[in-house]
Amino acid sequence: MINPAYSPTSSAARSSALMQDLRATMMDLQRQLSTGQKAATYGGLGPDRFTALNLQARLSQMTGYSNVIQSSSLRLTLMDKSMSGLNDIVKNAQSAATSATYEPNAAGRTIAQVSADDQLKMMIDLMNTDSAGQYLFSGRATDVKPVAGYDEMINGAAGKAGLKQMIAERQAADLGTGGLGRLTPPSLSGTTVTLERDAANPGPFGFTISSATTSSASISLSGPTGPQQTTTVGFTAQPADGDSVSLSLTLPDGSTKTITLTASSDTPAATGSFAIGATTAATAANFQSALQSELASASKTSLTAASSLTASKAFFAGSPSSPPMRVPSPAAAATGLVAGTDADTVIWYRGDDDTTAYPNARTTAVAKVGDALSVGVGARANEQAVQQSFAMLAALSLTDVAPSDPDGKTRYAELANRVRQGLSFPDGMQSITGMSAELASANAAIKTAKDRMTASKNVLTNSLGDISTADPQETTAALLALQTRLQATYATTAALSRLSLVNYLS
Amino acid sequence: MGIGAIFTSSVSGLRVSQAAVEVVSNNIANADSVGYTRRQLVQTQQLVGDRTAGVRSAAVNRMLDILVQRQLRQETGGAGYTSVASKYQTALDQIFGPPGGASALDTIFNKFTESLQTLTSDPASLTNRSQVLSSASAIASALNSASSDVQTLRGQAESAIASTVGRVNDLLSQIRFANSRIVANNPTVQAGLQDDRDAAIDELSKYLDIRVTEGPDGGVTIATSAGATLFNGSQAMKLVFDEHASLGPQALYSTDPAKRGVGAIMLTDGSGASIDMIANQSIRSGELAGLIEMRDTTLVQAQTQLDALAANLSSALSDRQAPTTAVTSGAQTGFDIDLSTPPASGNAITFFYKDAGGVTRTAKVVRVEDPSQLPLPNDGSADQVVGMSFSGAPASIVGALNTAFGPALSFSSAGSTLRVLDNGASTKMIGADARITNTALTGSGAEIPLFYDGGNKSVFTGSYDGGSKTLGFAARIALNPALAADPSRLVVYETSPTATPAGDSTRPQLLYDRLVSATRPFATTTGVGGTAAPYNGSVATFVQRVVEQRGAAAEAATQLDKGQNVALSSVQSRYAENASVNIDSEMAQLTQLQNAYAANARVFTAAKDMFDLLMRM
Repeated sequence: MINPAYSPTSSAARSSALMQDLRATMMDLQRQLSTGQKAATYGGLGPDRFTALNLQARLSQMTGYSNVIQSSSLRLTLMDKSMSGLNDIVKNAQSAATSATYEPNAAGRTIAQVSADDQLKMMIDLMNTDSAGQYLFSGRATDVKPVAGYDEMINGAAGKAGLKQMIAERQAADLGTGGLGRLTPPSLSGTTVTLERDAANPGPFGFTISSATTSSASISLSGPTGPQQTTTVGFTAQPADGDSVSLSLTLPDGSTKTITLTASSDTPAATGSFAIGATTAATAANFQSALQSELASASKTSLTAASSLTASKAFFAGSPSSPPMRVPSPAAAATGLVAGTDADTVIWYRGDDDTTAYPNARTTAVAKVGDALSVGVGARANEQAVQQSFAMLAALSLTDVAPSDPDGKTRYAELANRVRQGLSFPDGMQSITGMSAELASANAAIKTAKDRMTASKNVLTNSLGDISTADPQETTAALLALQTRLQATYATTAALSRLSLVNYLS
Repeated sequence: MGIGAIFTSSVSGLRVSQAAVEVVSNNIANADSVGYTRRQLVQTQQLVGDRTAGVRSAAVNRMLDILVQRQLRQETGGAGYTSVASKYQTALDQIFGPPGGASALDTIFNKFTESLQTLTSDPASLTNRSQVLSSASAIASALNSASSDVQTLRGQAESAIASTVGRVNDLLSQIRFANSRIVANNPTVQAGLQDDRDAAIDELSKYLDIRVTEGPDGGVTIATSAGATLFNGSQAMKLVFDEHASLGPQALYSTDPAKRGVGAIMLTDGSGASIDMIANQSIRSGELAGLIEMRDTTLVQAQTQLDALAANLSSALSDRQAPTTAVTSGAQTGFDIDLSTPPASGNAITFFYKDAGGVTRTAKVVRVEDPSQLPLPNDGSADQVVGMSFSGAPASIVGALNTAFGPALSFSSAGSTLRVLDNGASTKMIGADARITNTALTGSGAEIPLFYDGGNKSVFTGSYDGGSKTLGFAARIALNPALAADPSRLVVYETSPTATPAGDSTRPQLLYDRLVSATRPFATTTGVGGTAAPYNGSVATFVQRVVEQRGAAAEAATQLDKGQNVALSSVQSRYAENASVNIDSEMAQLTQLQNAYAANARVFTAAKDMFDLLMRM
């Protein structure tokens, strides 16, 4: 048996093969028309196939970038909302915290303090903002809610100290056992009054004496010298009315409290002055008692306010890898700070705090939105500006300034003053607006990338379309031409088959 | 000359006309018969002595142009080859999917890289993580199925060879039968037998490239164009093919029957001796040549490409670079490589240096623990590839390295550090790159064994132990089940002292960069980027190159087949001009013959009248 397909002599076989070819082409055109694709395989795409492959890969990359852009934009928009919310809070708190408005309510709290409570809660919410389950202010730990709840933060949790306790501890430590901010009560010996720090190493607590000055030639000053910053005020002669002695004391928050005592011939001498006695020894004794009462008052006002702020700052400086520094028990006799642990202290910020590998919080989340364009979109709730805002508002809220305490008003003034200054973010410190600006510029960079991406995506899609998409008009025209040819071939074949000499012979 | 002579010649005329009509009637009857060539009756004058005495039929000729016939057979062989090549290349091209289609290999790969990009924007998202895992298993299973498709095509080629060989044997015995009768019979019946034999030879030429020699007795001998005799005039040789069922990537052709995983075509002659026609390259054209090329070259290369893609996809993500520091020692410069984590079997250290001629050279040492695999064949991924056992500290290989790469490079070791130096004068060390496969998901850097070898259920290291694990890896690559069980490891690469935060994009970004921007050398055996130097590109561009190359090969094969068919049909029509029956010309001839017959009859009647007249006188 010989396979007829291999017979070279059958003309019918050859013409039918030709017609099959035409039909196959027609089927392909029909496929192009219905799928819109020029070719069903890369083989059929012709020499442009590598370009097509490349364009497809680029387009897919662009889609990837678009996904990144989309999620980053959403993230940045939400972050921007949080930051502007934070900014408003800070601005309000700053203007409310003035000493002029000491109008405590029934519970002994000022309006600024009451609103600071709510503001703190709002700030916690703002910092805990998430975008599709991704916490935005957690650095790299986007699955962790960065900020602890208000109650836990302030009042602590089971076995863990909250901010309230830390402030109380710090105040106790700063006041010391004698209540004079870790200074020994001024001692009198003849005509000399001596003031020095507690014999025991008082550590960073209480007052430190930074300098002593006088306007009088009759008063000799020495110190502060030695480990106890021993300072002496000697009355070599009777000071004149109006002569003054100033002692500069540095507070734990770095601020300075200057106690100035003026010699006065009035009896009894007014607050802030000492009576010139009958002898220099009597004047010295007067000076001693005036100094003691000034110190006691400064301890209860400036020192306590500074202490609150210091404790608050320490609390908000805490993070999982460096828990806050605490005052060990007994607080009044503490000589140094020890690091708290997660077990005994509430750590308000739970997010990523690796500042060694990621010193800049922006780099904790990097949106790669172009081959060479990476935008830092990360943020941490414990960034300096946020930390500072929390610390200031919390200190304001938690310091007791009740009018029942005679020093309440002064303490509030000292506190409000410090909070106002703190919230204006001193030079060199990151500010809320600075942080917002960084995020806004990241957003702008992403927006630009998006526009560019849209443009180049269009170009790529068009080029790809030119290569791989079948133009319907062209295909239809080709299909029609082919149909005509096929019809002509059929007609001719039919006519030829009828055209035979046999038909014409009789 | 008398009236009797008129009678004789008119009767001979009548007889020849009858015979001619018989030829015409046969032509018409066989107009559509397969292998039939048009016959023509040749008539000559009948000579009696020096006198013409009527007409006689001299022969019945087949209208055949021997030259065109030979050309036709050659072109048929060529067309057989190109049609097989085009069929298989097109099928291979289809494996890679429609352009831009969801099932296209490049689309699946792009989806994978896209999912990694998306993961970088929110690494903690469970959706993003599972998206990466599902697209990773999609690319693994795309490679698995592409690999199995390639092997199915090879299996098809194998069984097509088997059935073609059977057909060739049938044809050879048909030819032997027809040939013996042609040689034995008288010439009058030869035309039909010749047609029969020619048709068989024509079909044979489709399968093999043959050379037909016709002897003076009308018998033929057939040999392949390379000279292997298939039919020697009296005896048909037998082709034997040992078909292998279900081919895998490891089943390859070898001239050594013990190592052969596929069938070989053995040609057995009368004496019982047999030769391997594939080893001897006795078949150069025709369908068989096409099938053998597909099975042993084209499809094997396609598998190599898929394997290289799978291997590089896996290694690009899992291999980390051993810490390497530049050192100098006197005039010599070089590098210290920290091998405190020893390379896994199959891992390689590559040294880059400039030789005395200033040409950049690459020398690669691969860890091989199976002595039977040594020496390692150079796959073209470096200028020099040497395999050796690394079982001990670097000290254990220093000697072997110095032997292999000295004196251009010199090696020494201190503890777990391997030092490589140039010779301080003519050669210049440029770089050293030791790649170590991470087998654990955490604790050894951001690289991750995302894929693993489903065959031996372990992380792929490119090992050669017990046979190259790269061969057929495309069929076995799978998503690492340890990762599928714990998707968080897509992000978390350290667990101590502290765990990597869930939102850390280091690992996803590294994985993306490794696939899209980091370049790697691809072995020249893949056929991508030429055979002289390894193709240097990213895994992503390699995917594109492979798909492109397969597409281009398919297009070329289709074009070649089209061209060959054009050539074939032009020869066919030239052949048919002579050989095929044209009903019109046969009818015209019939009319002519009718007239001739009537004329002869008229002459006969005239002669009879003349004879009657003579008798009445």
